[in-house]
Amino acid sequence: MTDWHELVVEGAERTLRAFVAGFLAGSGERAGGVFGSDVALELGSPGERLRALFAAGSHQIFLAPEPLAVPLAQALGERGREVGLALERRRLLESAKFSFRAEAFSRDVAAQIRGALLTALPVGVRVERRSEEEEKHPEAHGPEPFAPLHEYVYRVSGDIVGSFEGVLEVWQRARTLDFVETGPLHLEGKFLVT
Amino acid sequence: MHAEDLGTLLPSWSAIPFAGMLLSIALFPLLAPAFWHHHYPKVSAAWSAVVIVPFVLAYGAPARHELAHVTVVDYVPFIILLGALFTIGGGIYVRGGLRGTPWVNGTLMLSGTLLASWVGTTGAAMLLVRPLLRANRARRHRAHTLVFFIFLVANIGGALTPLGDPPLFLGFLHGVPFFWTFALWKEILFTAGAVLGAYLCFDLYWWRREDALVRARPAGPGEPIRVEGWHNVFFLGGVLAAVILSGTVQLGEVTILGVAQRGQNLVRDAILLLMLAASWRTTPQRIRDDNEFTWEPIKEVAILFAGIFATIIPALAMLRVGEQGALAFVIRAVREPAHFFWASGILSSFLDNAPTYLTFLSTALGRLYPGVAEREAIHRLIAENHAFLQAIATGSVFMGANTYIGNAPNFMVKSIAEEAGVPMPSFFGYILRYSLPVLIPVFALATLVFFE
Repeated sequence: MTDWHELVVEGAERTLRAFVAGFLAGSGERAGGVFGSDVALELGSPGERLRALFAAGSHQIFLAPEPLAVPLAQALGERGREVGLALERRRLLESAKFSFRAEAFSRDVAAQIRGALLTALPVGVRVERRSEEEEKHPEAHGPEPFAPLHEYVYRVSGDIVGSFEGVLEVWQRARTLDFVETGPLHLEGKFLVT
Repeated sequence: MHAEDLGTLLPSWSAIPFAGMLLSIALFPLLAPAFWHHHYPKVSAAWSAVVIVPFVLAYGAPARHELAHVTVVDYVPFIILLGALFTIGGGIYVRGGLRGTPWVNGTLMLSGTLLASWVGTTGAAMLLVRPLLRANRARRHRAHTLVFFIFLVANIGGALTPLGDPPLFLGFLHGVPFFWTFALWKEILFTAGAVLGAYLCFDLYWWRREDALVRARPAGPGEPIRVEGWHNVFFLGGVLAAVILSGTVQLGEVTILGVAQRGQNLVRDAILLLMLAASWRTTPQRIRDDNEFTWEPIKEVAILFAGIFATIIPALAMLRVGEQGALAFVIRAVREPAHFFWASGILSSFLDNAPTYLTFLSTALGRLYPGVAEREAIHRLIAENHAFLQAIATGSVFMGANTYIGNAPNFMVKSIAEEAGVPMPSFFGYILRYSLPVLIPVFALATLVFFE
């Protein structure tokens, strides 16, 4: 698994997107990153939330694998000011986490959810606080207008924890599944000198 | 003491079990579905007993007569009609593969809206929800289609005939002529047209966001559409003819349990039972299996409406005597047709629409014709103040679509869709994302056009 970095950049989002696209094209780099606005990131401390409220739109987050993040950070440092971008801080991501919950009413959908979130997990990713239950009501068969009850109910919840790359992959899977609700991505890491 | 006098004697709190019964039907499926599924007969019996026992002990013969009257004149014919429509509708199955484009979905919605008035909203929803789900199986954005299906097929479409929605059949049983509901065509056209138009806009928006593979036209011919159990249409015709017949011929009266029941109504019920039996005997079991047909829905209706009809007696008696009864404050609160449209509509959004319709019909009669015999009062209402009845009928039928609990087929469609893998909106999601932005503005416009 590759290490990922979080780059916090001051400047307009469109400019950063253009800068990254130009950098990728110019360097021939293929490994892509993820913009913070494309994933739901959890805001940290109350102070950070307050800063985000007052400085909405002034700072952008870009998450990238190390082979891209390091030269991109360098390029931002060297040429970013020319287009109004400034790399404010960089963090090496050590782990990530998100919570999920699902309630589904068909065995097929339950199998999809189980496969995507519980069994076929990337290396270095695990489920914590896992709670899973199945309810079966064989007597509740066919349409019932006044006292509806599903014949089958599957409920699952937990936290997906592990390396950022693996957690991001599971988070993206979860977002394509109906009946699954996901919480924001919580990132842990250590700040690097920029 | 006459039965009519009861309304002036009953205290307002005697309507509490009726409210309790309706709130139980509305809230238990949301809050405690497993408990409700297993114990709703006990809950219904408990609310009924709370009314019937003290009512009969306190008022004796007039109370017993009221109970017998509601059983013979309202309850039994109501259950027979719903049973016949449900059995016959459950004998028709639409096979084949449609492709869920906006135009195909729109056509299915329109067909269901037109059909709902003839096979009942529950029957039309049961008949078309599976073809709609199959057509949209490959699509990612499906929930909005099922929600608009609830709006149109499970509710608004049922307003054109007394067969369409239970409130209108109750109105028919109480003396509203069969063809009177045809007068609602403008309201239906306006409302259904606006909602269907909104649906097409929504679906075109989401269709453009589907994967290219989903939007691409399939290379080969699809599975052709086939309707199985066609012969049940003949039985539906029999139901229609029997109901119309009971409203047009006079065959004298027969006394049952001390209650005078019209001969034509007994003939109607006999024909309906005959159509039910004929449909049951002649429809292959395979079709019923494909429709997941069971008697459970009719059992639910029979048990819960026994509770509704038992507990509604004091409320209707108090409303019928107008400002002389303990519910005079209700009579005074609703004065104009627009008030009746919204009051019956808002209550129908959260409580069952059939008793709501009867409650506001009695309110209108109590307000405009207090003390006049019900059938005569209804004829005068239609002749002199028909806008009130139009407002009550459309409010009760249309606004059942406002929430999942507004009308029985709403929950049924939600449940079938969820089991087919469609993530339906939550109770409040349905209201906030669909009812408030789509239905309420349409109903507000309908108020300005028809009831102001």
